[in-house]
Amino acid sequence: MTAQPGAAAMAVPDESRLLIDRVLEARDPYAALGAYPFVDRSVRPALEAVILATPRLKLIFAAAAYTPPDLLDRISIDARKALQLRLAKNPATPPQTLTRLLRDDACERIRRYVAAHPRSDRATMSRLADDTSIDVRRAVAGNPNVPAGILAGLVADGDGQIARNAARGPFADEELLQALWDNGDRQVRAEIATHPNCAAGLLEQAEATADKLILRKLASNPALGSSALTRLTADDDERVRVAAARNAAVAGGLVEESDYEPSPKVRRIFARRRSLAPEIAVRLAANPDSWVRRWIARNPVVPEGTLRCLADDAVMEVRRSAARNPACPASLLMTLAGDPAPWVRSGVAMREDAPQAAIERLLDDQHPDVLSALGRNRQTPTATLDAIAHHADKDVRRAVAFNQCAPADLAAHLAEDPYPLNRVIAAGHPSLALARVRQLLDDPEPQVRFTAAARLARQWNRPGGAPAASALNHE
Amino acid sequence: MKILVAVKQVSVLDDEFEMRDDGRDVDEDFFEKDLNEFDHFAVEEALLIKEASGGEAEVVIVTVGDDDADDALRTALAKGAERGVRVWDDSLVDADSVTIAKVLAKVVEREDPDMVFTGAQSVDFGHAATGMALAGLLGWPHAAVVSKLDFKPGDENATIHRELEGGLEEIMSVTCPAVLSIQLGINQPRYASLRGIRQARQKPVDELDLSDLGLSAETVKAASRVRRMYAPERGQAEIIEGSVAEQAARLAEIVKELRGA
Repeated sequence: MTAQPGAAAMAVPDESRLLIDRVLEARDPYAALGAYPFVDRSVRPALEAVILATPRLKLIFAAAAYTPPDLLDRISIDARKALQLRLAKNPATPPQTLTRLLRDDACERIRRYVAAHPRSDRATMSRLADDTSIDVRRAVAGNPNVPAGILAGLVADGDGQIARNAARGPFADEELLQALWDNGDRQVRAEIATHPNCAAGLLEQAEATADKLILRKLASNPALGSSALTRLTADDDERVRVAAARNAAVAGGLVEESDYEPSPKVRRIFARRRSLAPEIAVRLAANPDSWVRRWIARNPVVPEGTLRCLADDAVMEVRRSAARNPACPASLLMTLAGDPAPWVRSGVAMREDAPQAAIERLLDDQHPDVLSALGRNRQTPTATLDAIAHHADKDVRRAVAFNQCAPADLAAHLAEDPYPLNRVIAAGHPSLALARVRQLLDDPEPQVRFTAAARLARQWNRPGGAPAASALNHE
Repeated sequence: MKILVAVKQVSVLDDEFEMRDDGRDVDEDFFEKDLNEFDHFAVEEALLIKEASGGEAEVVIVTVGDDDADDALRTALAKGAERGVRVWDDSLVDADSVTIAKVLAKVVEREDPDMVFTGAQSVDFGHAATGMALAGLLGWPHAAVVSKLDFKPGDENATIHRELEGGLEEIMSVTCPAVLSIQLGINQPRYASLRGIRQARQKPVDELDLSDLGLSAETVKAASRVRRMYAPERGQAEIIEGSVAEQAARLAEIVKELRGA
């Protein structure tokens, strides 16, 4: 197939056709790939000829998760082993392509990758469940989408790894888990104990064991009843208590006991909970462990008076957490905007709900952390954004590219930034004029051209989305 | 005052690759070509000297490579170097570091620079030998792994810092002209502006072959040859989680599995 400028003379919007012609004329695989998902199917073959023009390009795009599924399917026609391996590993490869990879001569690695691929369909998994290689069968058992029926057939092998994988399978049902429990080792039983489909009887058996591995896994089971969870929060093994504390089903009453908990790890987990009673939060705020105070300072349930104390904490990270607390009052944000630590001030600078006076207090700040936060903040005045967009540090300038309220001239300035990533982000900025986006099709960086082409193609191929005036012809 | 910076277009390997039919290298399709990372620092150091001198110095980039190497050369030119020199002859396909140094030595004779910079090593082969061999052929002083440089146009000596094993640093003085192999981290390489990239397309590049340098295929015959390149067999790995006791239990289980018990 040969790509010809003008080959796109189909029923597509004028602007889209201009874009396609330009991409084909430049023979730019990255711009073609950006446009590909958004253009009419009739013009895709011409783009494919550019995108897959060389063996090297095929290899690159076969491995890329951003390659559209249709194109990955097209690449799979090529039997080169390296291509097939890349497609088998690519998370974007569609089910029908994965099935096609299982040619008669497909090597074990390809079969193993397909077996483990989350997008493999039931028929493919069923076929691979009978594979001669134990590693392929193990991979099927570890596939997060493998149905219970296939798992039941696989565990008949008696292989320990298959049993462990099957016990983790989200679709393993009560019957299968019971069979695995009856025949499994402690690793298998530990996996069953944490499975949400585990029957009540098995949960009781798991709780009755003295094995701490099984108890730890059991404590993290979201289906565990509150009485069992209560007992596990009092277990003498710290790791069991940690797992229980992390369990979302843990009752508020258990949390109230948290300040008597000897393990700092458990206290830190409780300090994050939004269900924490205010009086417990107050007690935890005085905890000598600064990590506990950090989490409490970030927790919106903490009373205002306590938050003010935490905002004066000797540890900078605790003060930063207070500045990030969604319930932090405006007056306290004003105080924190004058904190000696830039990291704390940046916590205020990034808040779009900060009082105007707090933002104004930060406008003369020259620290990169504060400037980066201000650059992203939609409240920041244009004059300040302008200064940040011209900062010597590329990472500081990038903050303005992320700011959706940055004006068109700043977006255009960043579209000329020496740092390629800043141009990539600017190419997608809503304020950047389409005529400027079009200029980015000539950018030396492939990712910029990809982003620009994708944006233009999306703009001109959405229903009723074509701009009234021809952006391509307006410089 | 002229600084000559020798750069290389290196090959960065993909994670899945195939060998060439002759088994002596990886198939070209599996390479991503780029300017050697160390060379970015060498170019930057030359540009900093030029800028500090108010533009008194000229920075010339030289590379030995085929047409593809033009990209690496233009990348360096886009940062602010004045001009480039590219040398190529098909007989250089299997050139080793010493052969490349022989070619570069002829370029040095032709350009007559006051200083030559190279990267400390190339990221693809990592011989770290070209700069050393070049200095040897020229009879110039050489310093490797230069992590700090104090030099300005007109200086008879350059003061350099070198990283040594065990966190030691060596400060030494070298007589100019010299060949310095520049280490990563000596500076913060700039990104070329779009304007610089556009201008680089127009900057002069001398394209030379061996005869232009008074060399021949015979005189650049490599003294070393790659006989075979291959990926050694790898073992399996498994991350064992859990407490020490759990890990020990799992380890015992693996040992039993391997022994077939």
